Amino acid sequence: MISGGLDSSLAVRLILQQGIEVVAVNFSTGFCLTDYQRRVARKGQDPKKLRNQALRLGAETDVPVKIIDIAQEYLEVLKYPRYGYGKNVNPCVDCRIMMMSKAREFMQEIGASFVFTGEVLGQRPKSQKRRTLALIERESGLEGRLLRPLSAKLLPPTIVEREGLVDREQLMAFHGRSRKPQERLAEELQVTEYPQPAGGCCYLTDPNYARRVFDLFDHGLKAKASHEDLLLCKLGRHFRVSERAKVIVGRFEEENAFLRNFGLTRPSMEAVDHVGPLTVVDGEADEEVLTRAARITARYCDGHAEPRVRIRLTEGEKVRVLEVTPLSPVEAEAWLLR
Amino acid sequence: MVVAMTKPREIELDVRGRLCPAPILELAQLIARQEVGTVIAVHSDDAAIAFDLPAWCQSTGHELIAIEQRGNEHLGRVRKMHDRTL
Repeated sequence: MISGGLDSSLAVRLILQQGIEVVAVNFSTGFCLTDYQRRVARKGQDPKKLRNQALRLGAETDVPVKIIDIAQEYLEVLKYPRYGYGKNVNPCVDCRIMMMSKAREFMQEIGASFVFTGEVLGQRPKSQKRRTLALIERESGLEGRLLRPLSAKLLPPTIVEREGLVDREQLMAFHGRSRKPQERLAEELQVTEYPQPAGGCCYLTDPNYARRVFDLFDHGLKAKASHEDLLLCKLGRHFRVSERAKVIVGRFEEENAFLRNFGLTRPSMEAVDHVGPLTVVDGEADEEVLTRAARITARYCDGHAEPRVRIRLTEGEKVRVLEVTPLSPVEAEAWLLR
Repeated sequence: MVVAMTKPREIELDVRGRLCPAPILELAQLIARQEVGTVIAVHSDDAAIAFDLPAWCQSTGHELIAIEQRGNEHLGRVRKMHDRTL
């Protein structure tokens, strides 16, 4: 199971070095930072930096990569994690159990002998403690068949090590958060290309994002929240203007362009006479909410110092203009979801 | 002697507007249902496809005949080389 980061790059090479045939699997959850960055990529951004790292690793090592889309099932895991969240909205233990279970199914489907990952004992607080690694192995039905080559010497021998399919002596005993041992091994194995910074590409660990998602859940939208709702939490500045509505303001041109897609099914706003953001209203948009949204839009456009600003409101086919006083920074602060 | 040359079957995959990993997922699903030798023309406006498509072909053993940029879009042509799952 690979992400394409440094740890999985090393794990793949350690296993290949033993002459073992490897087939890689990579899971798409819909919460990958690179996927999001592609959606709002700024003009002139180097597309190479946005490439799929799992595919890159597969090409470098001649290992076939199977990408499995688990986004829909993942949504339920995210909303109702059996083992709870980490520091943010990251259900890491449930996530690993789900992925490992899927990897086990894939292993059985292709007749493979074991699953391995780039996990390092003690590297991540939620999912890589000794007890948690054992729990994940058990819950996913991979007991004895889940190898962590980078920390194998610190963990109980797996069936494949005991049976001699994998030589435990050639595996590692990495532990903890330091990346130095991995960097030394990378040098030794001549691995020069891997994404930086390290730490995974899942944005569920982002504290700002987590606050917005929990705000959504706290406002009675947990059960019906879709991937689109959760993607919207990643975009722009968010203002909780009422119990039933939120205002989202784009921060730069590409974000405005992406936000426009959400504006097709929601009220959206832009300043008429000034350069400014695109704003989308999510939830129940009564007249009071729309006025607040218009004042927020005025606050972030180039006319924010004017006494009155004209804002174009689009609701489906219907377009009208609201003239409002821009919100003061203090007022904006009160509604801003940080 | 008459030699009949049959042109390999070519089919189109339009994944414009879709971003990673959707284009690769769709290509993988489509290619799995085709006969060996079939060429798939992949139309994508995902800038990173210029890296992902060659990488996917390299790792799975299908042939990337060519990939070319046309404005903001890419056209990649991939030939199915085998019937393996991957």
